[in-house]
Amino acid sequence: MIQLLSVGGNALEDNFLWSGIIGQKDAIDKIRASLQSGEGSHAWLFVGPRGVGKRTTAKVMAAVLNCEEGGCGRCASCSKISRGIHPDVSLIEPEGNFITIEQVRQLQQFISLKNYEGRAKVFIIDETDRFTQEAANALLKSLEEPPPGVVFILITANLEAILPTIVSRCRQVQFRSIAAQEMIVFLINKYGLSYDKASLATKLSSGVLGTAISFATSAAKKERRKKVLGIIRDIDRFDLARLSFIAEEFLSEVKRPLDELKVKHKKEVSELKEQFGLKGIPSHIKKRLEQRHKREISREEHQGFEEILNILISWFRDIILLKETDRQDLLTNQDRILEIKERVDLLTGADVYECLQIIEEAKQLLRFNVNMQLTFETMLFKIHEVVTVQNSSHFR
Amino acid sequence: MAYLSLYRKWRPQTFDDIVGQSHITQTLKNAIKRGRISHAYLFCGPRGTGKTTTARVLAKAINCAEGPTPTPCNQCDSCRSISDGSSIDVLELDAASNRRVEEIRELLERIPYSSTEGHKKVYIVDEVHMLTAESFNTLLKTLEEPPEHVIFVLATTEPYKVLPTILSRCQRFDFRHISAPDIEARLREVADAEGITIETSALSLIAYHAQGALRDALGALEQLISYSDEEITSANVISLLGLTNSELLFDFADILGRGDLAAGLLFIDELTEKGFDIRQFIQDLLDHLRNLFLIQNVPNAKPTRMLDELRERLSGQATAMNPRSLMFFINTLSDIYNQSRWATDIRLLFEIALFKMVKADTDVSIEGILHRIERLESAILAGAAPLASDTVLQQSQSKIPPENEDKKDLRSVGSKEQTPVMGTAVGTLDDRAVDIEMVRRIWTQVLNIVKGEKPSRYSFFAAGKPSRIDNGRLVLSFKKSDKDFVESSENLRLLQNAVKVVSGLDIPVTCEFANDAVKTVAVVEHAAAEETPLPPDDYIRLVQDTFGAKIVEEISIDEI
Repeated sequence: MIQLLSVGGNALEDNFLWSGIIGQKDAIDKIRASLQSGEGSHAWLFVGPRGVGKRTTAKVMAAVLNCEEGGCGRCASCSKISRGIHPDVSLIEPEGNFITIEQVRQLQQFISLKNYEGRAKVFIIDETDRFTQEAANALLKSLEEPPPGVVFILITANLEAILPTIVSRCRQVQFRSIAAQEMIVFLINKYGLSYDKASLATKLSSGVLGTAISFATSAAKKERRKKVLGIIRDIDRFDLARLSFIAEEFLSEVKRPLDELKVKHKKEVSELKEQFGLKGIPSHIKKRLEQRHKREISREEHQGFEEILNILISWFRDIILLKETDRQDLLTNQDRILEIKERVDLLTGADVYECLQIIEEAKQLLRFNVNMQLTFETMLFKIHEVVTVQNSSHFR
Repeated sequence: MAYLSLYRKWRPQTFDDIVGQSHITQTLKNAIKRGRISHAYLFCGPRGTGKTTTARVLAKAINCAEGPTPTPCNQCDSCRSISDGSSIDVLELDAASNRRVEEIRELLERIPYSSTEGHKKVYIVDEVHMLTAESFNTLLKTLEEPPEHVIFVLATTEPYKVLPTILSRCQRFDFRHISAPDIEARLREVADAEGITIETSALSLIAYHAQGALRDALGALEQLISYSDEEITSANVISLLGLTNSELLFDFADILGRGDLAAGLLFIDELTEKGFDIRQFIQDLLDHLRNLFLIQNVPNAKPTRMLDELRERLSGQATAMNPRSLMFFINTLSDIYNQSRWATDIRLLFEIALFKMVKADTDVSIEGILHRIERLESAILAGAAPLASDTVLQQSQSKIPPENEDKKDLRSVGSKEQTPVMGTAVGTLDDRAVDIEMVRRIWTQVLNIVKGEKPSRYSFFAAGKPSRIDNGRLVLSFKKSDKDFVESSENLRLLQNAVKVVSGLDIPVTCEFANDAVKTVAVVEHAAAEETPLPPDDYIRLVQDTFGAKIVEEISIDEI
């Protein structure tokens, strides 16, 4: 099913045109240059880490292609695209876990229709790495030689997972993680943070702007960081029973903000019910809505877990950094320098790296449908073991 | 939007234009000349090598007004209609979107109708590997004996997915990757025709990066054209393809060679600050190290993706780098590169790898150990004093007992690859000769041997940790359930043997509970120090440490 662009869920919505996309100068220069020279490709592939502005750029590009004035941001066409209701701009994203061949067939039907109003018919395909085999192959011919006026923008964070035959048909644009300095400046200007706070939020965000913003602005996240760092600092003092209790705490820490989201979802459903009145919501719309909600929840949850793990990583990384380079200014946790210094003498480099590896393993498990309580427990146990074995031999 | 992508605009229209596939075009030309055109062809090969193009040219050659000819005129109605895709006699079918058996039946229904203007009806079935099994089977009979006027051309990137019964009915042509010089020549042709000035080194960079696919190369060229106004330089290409500046690669390889962890960490920090793609960096670094490796072994080799002016610097670095360390770096980095496909935090992985490469103390693989030995050797050659703190080294220097004769009964792994570090000492050793740190370091290897011997018990053994050396015995600490299982004389002997194989030390092995470990360590130490019972305060502290107890109230013994 072809979905129109949905609004919401994107922190960058209010910055529309090119200037609103930060940290992607190279990519945007390339796109603009080829749009201006009139030699735009009919198939683009935006590659880059999650949350650095690929989708926003795709929307801007769709607007520029459709706007009389090359992307004014004010006309009817631009505003429709920004609100996600332009009839000639479609967004395709995984339904459930994958983009299916059904979705591609509908896209193909839609390709052959005449444009409603726009000058270009734009298909934005998000998470291109989530195509099923059949779907990806079905797209190949359309992607290679679409009718005039059709532009594909494929988006992915994982180039390796895409069929090479698709990649070879597209013009690739590389998006980078947003350079730290740029993000810091943005946070300072936009949210009036102090340099230290902006820098902390940036370092904890792993280059994802949305995460940095929420770190910078949300009190709950600050609280969470304090809690997590407190625990990892004293991990050698806890026994195993206490650790599994802590794992549980981590879990509820992640689940709590989900309630808000669920309330929001319920409201959406009841609004929709009102609109359809007695007939009830048609099943395909209902299904799509449910799937979107599910996706949003699991994304939120995932980010929560990742955040906690990132905080843990920042702690150990700081220790090793201070140990090896002795440069305080590089540390992420600037507010904890004294505590970090204490740990530097207690742990060997090899131990710290082992801890980092343990956390990274846990992080990789996140991708799969694992029991997070168990994963956290195992991770904490392992770290505990590394840290305490070291301590006892240290005292001998 | 009349603009066409270069790869569409420059799609070859004759056999002679098709680059790098002369083994195919020549065969097809001869077949047409002699009137021996088969009724079913299968074109397979990687992306961007000319399968669809060749199919279209073949259709033209067959249907050209000048009769079947190896050189289609591209002037007549038939040729032109095929070029713009409007011919009714040449049907191009997307098997990937029409893979169902109904769609194939529909196709077959139309086959009996003879062609209108041309001589033959050509069905080009692209992406044929996506047909369902039923669809393939529906095709079989027609594919074997189609009517006079029908020719099938099947094209696919994945021939192994095509049914063998289909394969055997077709003349199969395998398209090869196009060589970099061929791609370069074609790019030059296109660039000249489009009136673009471009450096030769830039072209060869594109050609190399395209990895045998002409479409990718033309795509890159097109992007460069729209991106840069004047002459296209290799610097443009590097920035477009997101390749890493060679300066950085040289610097990082130097850091690895020096073993400078701090500099490496700072380097990675800077890469991230500047928004570099770490994964791409690792890939380019691997390319660079491979070049070093190449030069070390084949002095006259032409390194890939390397500008001529940098060659000297490359050889300089190659001579400075220890060959075995280089191998170790390449191995570690390619591991990381593979892992990074699934990793969430590539930077972290890279940092961990850096640590491994530079410190290598944690790495017990053969390469890792060799790397360390080589580093030590070169340090000694350079006149550095042996590290006083390294107990293993000291011991191996101070007491090297003569090699034992009974080495033959050692496992083959042990005798060949893992020469005993400390020589073989038999009998009980006092605590100080055997260092628990040393045992910990070899523990992974010990477990590997056990794993080879008794895979079923391996996981139980792996749960244990060498805890300390007590009275010439190696004490392993286990969790409760595991300990009960492990503690049989047979198992202990197994472990003892494995330790002997790896280190040459014959030490008896015992087990204990993990929770006891802390306690006993404390107790033993105190006992050793002063043979007297612990003062009461220490007992309390011991209870506090072990069980996390709190002092609630103090009651004197008299009161009880």
